[in-house]
Amino acid sequence: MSNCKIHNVRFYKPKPEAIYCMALNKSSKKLAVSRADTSIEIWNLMHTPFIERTIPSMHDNYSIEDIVWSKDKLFSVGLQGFLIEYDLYSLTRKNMMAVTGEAAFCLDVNKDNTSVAVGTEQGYLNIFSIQDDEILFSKFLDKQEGRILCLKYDPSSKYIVSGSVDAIRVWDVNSGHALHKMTTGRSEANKVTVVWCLHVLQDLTIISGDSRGKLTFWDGKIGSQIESYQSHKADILALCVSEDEKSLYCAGTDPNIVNYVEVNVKEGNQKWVKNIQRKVHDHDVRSLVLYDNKLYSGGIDGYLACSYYPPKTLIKYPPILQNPCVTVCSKSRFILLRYAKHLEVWSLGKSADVENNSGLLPLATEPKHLLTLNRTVKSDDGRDVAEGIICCSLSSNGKWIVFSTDTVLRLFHFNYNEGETPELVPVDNLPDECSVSVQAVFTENSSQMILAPRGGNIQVYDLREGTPILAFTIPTQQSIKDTITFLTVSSCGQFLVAADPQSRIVVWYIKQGKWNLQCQLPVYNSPPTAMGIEANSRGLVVVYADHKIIEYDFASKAYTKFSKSLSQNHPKSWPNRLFAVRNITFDPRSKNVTILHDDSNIVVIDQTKVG
Amino acid sequence: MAKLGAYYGLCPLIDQRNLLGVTDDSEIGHVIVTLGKNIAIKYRLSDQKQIHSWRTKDKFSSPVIYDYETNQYVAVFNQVYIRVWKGDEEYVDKLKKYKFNKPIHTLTKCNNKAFVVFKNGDVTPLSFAIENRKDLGTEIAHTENDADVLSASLKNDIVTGVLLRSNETNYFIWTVFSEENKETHKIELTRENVELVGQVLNQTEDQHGVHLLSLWSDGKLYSYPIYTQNERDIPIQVESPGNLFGLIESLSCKSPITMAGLNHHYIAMYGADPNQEGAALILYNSQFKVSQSKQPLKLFTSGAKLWHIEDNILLCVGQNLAVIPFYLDTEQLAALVGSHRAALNDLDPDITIVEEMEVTNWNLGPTAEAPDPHKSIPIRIKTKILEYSKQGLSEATICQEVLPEFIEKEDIDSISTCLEYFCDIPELCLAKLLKFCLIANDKLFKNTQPINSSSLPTNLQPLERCMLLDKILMCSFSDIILLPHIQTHLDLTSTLLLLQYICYLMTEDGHSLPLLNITESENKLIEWGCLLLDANYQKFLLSRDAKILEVLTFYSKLVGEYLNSLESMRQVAPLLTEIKKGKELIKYKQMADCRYSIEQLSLY
Repeated sequence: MSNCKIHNVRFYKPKPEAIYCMALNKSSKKLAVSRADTSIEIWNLMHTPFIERTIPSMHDNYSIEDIVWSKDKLFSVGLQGFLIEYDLYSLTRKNMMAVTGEAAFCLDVNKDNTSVAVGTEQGYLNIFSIQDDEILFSKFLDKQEGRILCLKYDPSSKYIVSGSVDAIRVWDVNSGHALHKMTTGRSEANKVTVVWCLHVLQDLTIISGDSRGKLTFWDGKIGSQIESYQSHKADILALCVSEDEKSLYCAGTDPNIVNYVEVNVKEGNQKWVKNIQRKVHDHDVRSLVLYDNKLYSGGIDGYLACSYYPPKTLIKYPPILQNPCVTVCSKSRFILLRYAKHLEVWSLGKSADVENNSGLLPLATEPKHLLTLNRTVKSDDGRDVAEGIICCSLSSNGKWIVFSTDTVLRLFHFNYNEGETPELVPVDNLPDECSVSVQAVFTENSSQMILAPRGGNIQVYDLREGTPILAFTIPTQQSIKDTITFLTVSSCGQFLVAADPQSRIVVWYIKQGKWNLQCQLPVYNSPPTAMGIEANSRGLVVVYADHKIIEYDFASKAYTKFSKSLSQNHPKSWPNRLFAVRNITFDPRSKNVTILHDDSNIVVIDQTKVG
Repeated sequence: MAKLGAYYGLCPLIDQRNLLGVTDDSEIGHVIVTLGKNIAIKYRLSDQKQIHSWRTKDKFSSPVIYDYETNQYVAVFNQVYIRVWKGDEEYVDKLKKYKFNKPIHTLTKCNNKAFVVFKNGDVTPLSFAIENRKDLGTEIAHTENDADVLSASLKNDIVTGVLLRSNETNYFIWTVFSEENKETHKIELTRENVELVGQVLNQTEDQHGVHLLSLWSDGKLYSYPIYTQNERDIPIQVESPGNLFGLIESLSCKSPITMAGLNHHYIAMYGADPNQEGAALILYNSQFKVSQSKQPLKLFTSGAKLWHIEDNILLCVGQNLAVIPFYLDTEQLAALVGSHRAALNDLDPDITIVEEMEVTNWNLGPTAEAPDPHKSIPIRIKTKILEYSKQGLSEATICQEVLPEFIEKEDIDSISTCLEYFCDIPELCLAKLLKFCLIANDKLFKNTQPINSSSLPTNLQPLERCMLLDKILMCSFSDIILLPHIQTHLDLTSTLLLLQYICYLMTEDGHSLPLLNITESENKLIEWGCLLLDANYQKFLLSRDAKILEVLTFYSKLVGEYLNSLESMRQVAPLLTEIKKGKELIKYKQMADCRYSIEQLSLY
């Protein structure tokens, strides 16, 4: 009864992108992670870390050198010389300001989140002031010689400390003059010392990590070196200090993460001494962030690692795209694989039916790669650059493909018959309302396409004519206030569910062509990570980030009895699982069976067996 | 196992001839050396220290012995006096002496009993002698100075004997002392043309009797039964000197040999080395009649005396008295196989050795006949082999003697029979046989029936040659030993011929070797092929002869075929293992594609 054929697809190999920078928003518990392809993932760290939303890579934003949060605003600078503010609701750029000094390497926000300092190639330290809607250029400090590679405001926001080649300077923000210049010295006469990262403590002690692998403590008040430790064998690229300023972590090209703590040495003196080391990454560590006691580290190997002690724990989150990255079309036996910058359509293989459940089945047909789809745009220097894909979908009959990038939404007819070459025909003349969307789904009968455009609302398009015609728009401003990150339609086509990362889950139903609000689930304090509508469209199963599973009945608009008993009965280890649940599906043969999975396990919930 | 240990000197000797004797002392590890005529010293063997010494102005005429019955030391002085003392005294002249009417030859001790040996051949126990010293009178023979006193004990019976030598003949007079009786017998020991060089009294194998072993100058050892305890034994009338017991060839029997019995199996012998250089001390095993341990010594003194005390043999070596410890253990027959050799020199063709053997059988009923081991020898070669096997030669040695003869005589039938009969043919013989077989003239082979096969080299006709070759190829051999022989004896042409023959056998036309099935036959042929290739490796490597290349190509093809078949076997092997275990066969097993696979399983 529970036999099923499992297709093991190993040809989906998205290229893991390195993590270049990370920034932590303590108040909203979000971690912004920027990757080598300039996509930014916002991880929700409230319970189990998972990707809440992704800002796709934009073709002209080809480099992100540093990112920073200012309250809930996200800023980044890159080699193209712009300071960019991101709109997390519409997952795009909000504001873009050119900086003086060409390529920008680093930025920092002051404590009151009123201004942003940007360090540039030419040596100009730009200061921008943050207004509600925009950022305004304030001034730049005295030009210094050499590029500014890292900078930090001091906790009082009066000074900025900048690190460059062979020197660290302390600037007075008001006057714009450099107060102190501290030379780092060189380990080899002809090899420059690059100061890669800095931190400033309350008492203006500057901690710097440079390319010699040395961790140096400076007294910012008088501009002299206090202490220097050879902590690594290669460049130290990242540094982070705990809130109480008693402990710091540093790592870099030598991927050993070393912890220094400040200890009391006789007569009230303090000294920083080396504590335990952690071997977490194999390649360079580019960024370190400390949240509570947990150290988040990211580097060239693409894994986001969370390590803490006690008890000695290491969790590594693999560089997988945010869900959904695979769409399965049951009627046509196609799968749509979403990559960061392109799509692939494959047809699944077929196998003969065998009576007993014996391992591998012989393949009658092999899987075929039918289509690779991407959108290229000409970049500034004339090259064709593929755009990052925000969302995509494939209809169940395999005839419609839709995807959206940061600039456009595209819809295609797809024709494939076995033995022939597949045919892709773009659908031109899309209605104007059809614009860049954050979510896109097709109904099971492939007659309707439902989009969640960037600006909000949900649009339902009718496809029966062969071109999409806007049939209905569902207003969402009242119910869903944040970006829609989940959009599912039931298999019967009657119900539509949308959810945002703040756990607002809304259900609509269709009646005579109009979608009406059915119900809104109670808001839970943890964001949902996966949801699915049951096969018989009776209800919805949602799994939250803290691993709570609920089953909500549409008709009675309440949690089902099973759901209530489950919360008391689930196995003890369930809430402590390390990875968030990614997908939920249902066994069509049995209405009591729910199958869900996370990065390491498939879990089957059989309602009949649970006490 | 008998082993002689390293010898060490005990004390210097003034003059060897003056050494009267070495006897054991009351304490273990001590010996009394009666040096010269004036002094007797008690030594401790472990550190060669003098413990005590006794001097006399009268001369000792016998070694000082310790009498266990009276716990006193006894010695004969000036051949007529006997003194007995406790041992603490230093000068023994002052002690009481007993005078005897008849001159005393010496004192002897056996089994802790002391005896007085008179010059007239009479032997009496010491205590008895001292008491009745005036009345002794039995005259048996007249002795001269060189008379050897022998003694042996058998449980509580003691046999002592005196061997008298003279120019014409030798007499042996022995006395048996049992519980109360004393019997004296006398025999004459002579053999024609040979001289008596040594003698010893030894217990017989069954330890129920004593026999006199006499060694003659032709190396032959004869055994004469002197006394037997077992009354059931029907006394066999044995002529003097007795039965042939064995053959001594590790010592030169031209010179006198001193013998001493160590236990009922071992005899120590001292004599000249057969190479005429120096002397040797050997331990002779009388059970298996082989000499076991040999200790060469630099100088041979004729008539040197040998004493056996506890675990040591004391012997005069040069100017010293040497102590040689020995170790005896039960001999293992397995260690002795093949070591028995008959002395083929000096065999007088007129002498026939008649050995009478009684064959018994334990397992079968009393009436069953014992199987004759000699019956199975094929008649053709029987006589020759019988002769050798009676001498106790191993098969390998017999082959080495017999086969070259046959090869020389070109007696194909005998060679054939030998190959069938023998199982252990030495490799040298195999090589020679191969050579002979390959180059022998066609006419030698009686069966001139040719073999009808194109692939058989013509040089290997006729059929009988092939049959003979087959028999040779069937023999087991050790390749390491055979390799150098092949290299020396087989030249390149013959090797090539043989290789071609093996090629022929391996093809479809070829037959398997007789008595072996196909697998074993092929195994054997592969072994031979490898051996021949190894032996002539360099020649083949450097040669450009087309025939050699042909043969080598054939072999490489053969090896290739075998490897291919191994490959297919390897594929089948797991399947066979599964079948053997009784597991179900999975009809279709597809290797999973790394990229994509479909499997069916029970999810929950």
